[in-house]
Amino acid sequence: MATAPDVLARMRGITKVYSRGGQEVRVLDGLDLDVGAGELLALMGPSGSGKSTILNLLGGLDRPDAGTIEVGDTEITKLSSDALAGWRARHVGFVFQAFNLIPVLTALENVELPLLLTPLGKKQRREHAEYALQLVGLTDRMDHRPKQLSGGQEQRVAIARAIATDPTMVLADEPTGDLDRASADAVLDILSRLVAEHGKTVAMVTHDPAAARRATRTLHLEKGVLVEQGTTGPA
Amino acid sequence: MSLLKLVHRNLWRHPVRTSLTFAFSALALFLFVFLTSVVTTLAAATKASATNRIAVQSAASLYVYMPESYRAKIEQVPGVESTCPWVWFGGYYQDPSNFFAQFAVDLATHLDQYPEAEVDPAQRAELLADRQGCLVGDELADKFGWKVGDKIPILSNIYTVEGGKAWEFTLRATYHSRKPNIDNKTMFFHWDYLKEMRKALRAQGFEASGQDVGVWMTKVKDGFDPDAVIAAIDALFEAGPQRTRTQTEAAFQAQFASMLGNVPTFLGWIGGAVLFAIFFSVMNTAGMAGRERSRDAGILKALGFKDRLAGGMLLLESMAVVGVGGVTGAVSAWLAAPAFRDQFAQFLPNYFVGTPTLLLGIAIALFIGFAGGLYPAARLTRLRTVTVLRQEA
Repeated sequence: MATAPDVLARMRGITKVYSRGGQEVRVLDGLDLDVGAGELLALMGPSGSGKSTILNLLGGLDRPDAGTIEVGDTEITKLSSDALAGWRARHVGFVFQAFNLIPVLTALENVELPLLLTPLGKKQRREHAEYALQLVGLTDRMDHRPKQLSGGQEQRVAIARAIATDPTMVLADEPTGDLDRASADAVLDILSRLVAEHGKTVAMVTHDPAAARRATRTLHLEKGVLVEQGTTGPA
Repeated sequence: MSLLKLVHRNLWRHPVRTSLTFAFSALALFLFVFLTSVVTTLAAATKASATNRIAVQSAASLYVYMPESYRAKIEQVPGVESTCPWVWFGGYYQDPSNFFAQFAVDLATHLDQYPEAEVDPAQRAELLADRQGCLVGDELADKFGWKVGDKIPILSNIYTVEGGKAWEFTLRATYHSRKPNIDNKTMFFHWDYLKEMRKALRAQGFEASGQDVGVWMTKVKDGFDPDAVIAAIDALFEAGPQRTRTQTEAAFQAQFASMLGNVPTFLGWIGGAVLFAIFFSVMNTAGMAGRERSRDAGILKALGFKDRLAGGMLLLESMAVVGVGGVTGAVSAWLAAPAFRDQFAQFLPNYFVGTPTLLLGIAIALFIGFAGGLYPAARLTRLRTVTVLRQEA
């Protein structure tokens, strides 16, 4: 079992089976995993090993076929679809490889989007969004639409959107996968700062060894099973 | 930033497509309201007809005249209060394009039979005193700018004077009808004046109508069964010289609609087909928008918005475009009613867009927007976030 000192998330006996081309594929098979509070966890492994599935399960985007997932005091596997959506809005920020910004909204509006689910007023929402963009160094691009931004800038907007609601966890799926080295380093700097300076917990799926080196802990998966774990360095 | 802003921005993601859908919806509902109003206008005249008025016409055709001597015979039938001759004049004012209906009638009897056509008592007296006087609907007078006292030259296609000379009338009174069974765009003049015209024409060698009256509009006394009076009149002329066909005013009005054959039914079918076309078009457009929004729906769900939100937003988009387009079309048809009334004065002088038709059009527009967007919206709602984000990555 992969454990962490101050556990934020516990996955126990997780099994996830997908049906592909009429055949059942067991992506995760009885996985146990703990994610520590305030760590930058890197999940590595070949394609199809179950890395992204773990992230999706942790973030409540998907449900396991067997097993339980607890995040803080909440067993999210027991939540209804609507309750899970509400929990996700309060506790999880997602960063995707393909950025996934809404193309018709400006950078500021994209960042403000998850804040619509909070009780904040219009002015406060704007202030929060501007602050998040300031953290990723994009205040000068806040009125630009995604098409008007570079890939690295888009990913920084996506990170700003992920942290705008001050979530418990940030889950990043290949955040540097579509970026050049310089942009990737800038994104990794931001994720590291989130952990080191703001005490956030970040779980990141990556194929990039340079990204893994930034992690406080790295887990390797193969065919849904944790085969190796190692502590690399400080975030 | 608000979700409505996102809906608005999405609407204008494809401005040409949105504009075309809007325009098509507006056109479809315009046509629907217009076609429905043609049918309801035809029906309204029949519905508003008096139950105590019956029309006596030739059994052969409406275009075959009956002798003037019938008047005295009809008035002898038990239950008949009065009968009034109606003769079609077939004229126009200055130019053939200014065509409108004119009838020679016994004006005193006519005004008694049609109390719903309101006439100022002073004008009524002037009208009855002037042999060349005429009574004109207020809308017709307004259209040509006629005032009481004006001389009105009318050229007739039936009673044609050598040299193209017009018959002259003096406008002595205007009427305003409160019911659609009699429109406000008709001219009535003295039956006696028509008889003089015929006499003058015969003296000049023209062949005027050999027989005299097109329709005897007959009022039934209170307490008498109109059906019994109808049967008695037709029985009276069973042996000729002209057999008659007598019917209630409603049936008489309805025969003008039936002259159009199945046109009202066809109009209904066309209106329905237009609505079906717009429905499938909206479904197709919403389907395209839904497929394009799959990724956005996944993003919204990942951010914590409920599953049904993305679908709801698409539904709102669909209802906004089709609803606003449809309402624009329906209201335009309503606003265009006076212009149509002028355009179709010859066939549908009372054309109107009723409030129920307008409201039905608006309701249908909103329903089509809702129903057309329902399936794509449901599909968006059911999308699995993980699947869609993986596919779109």
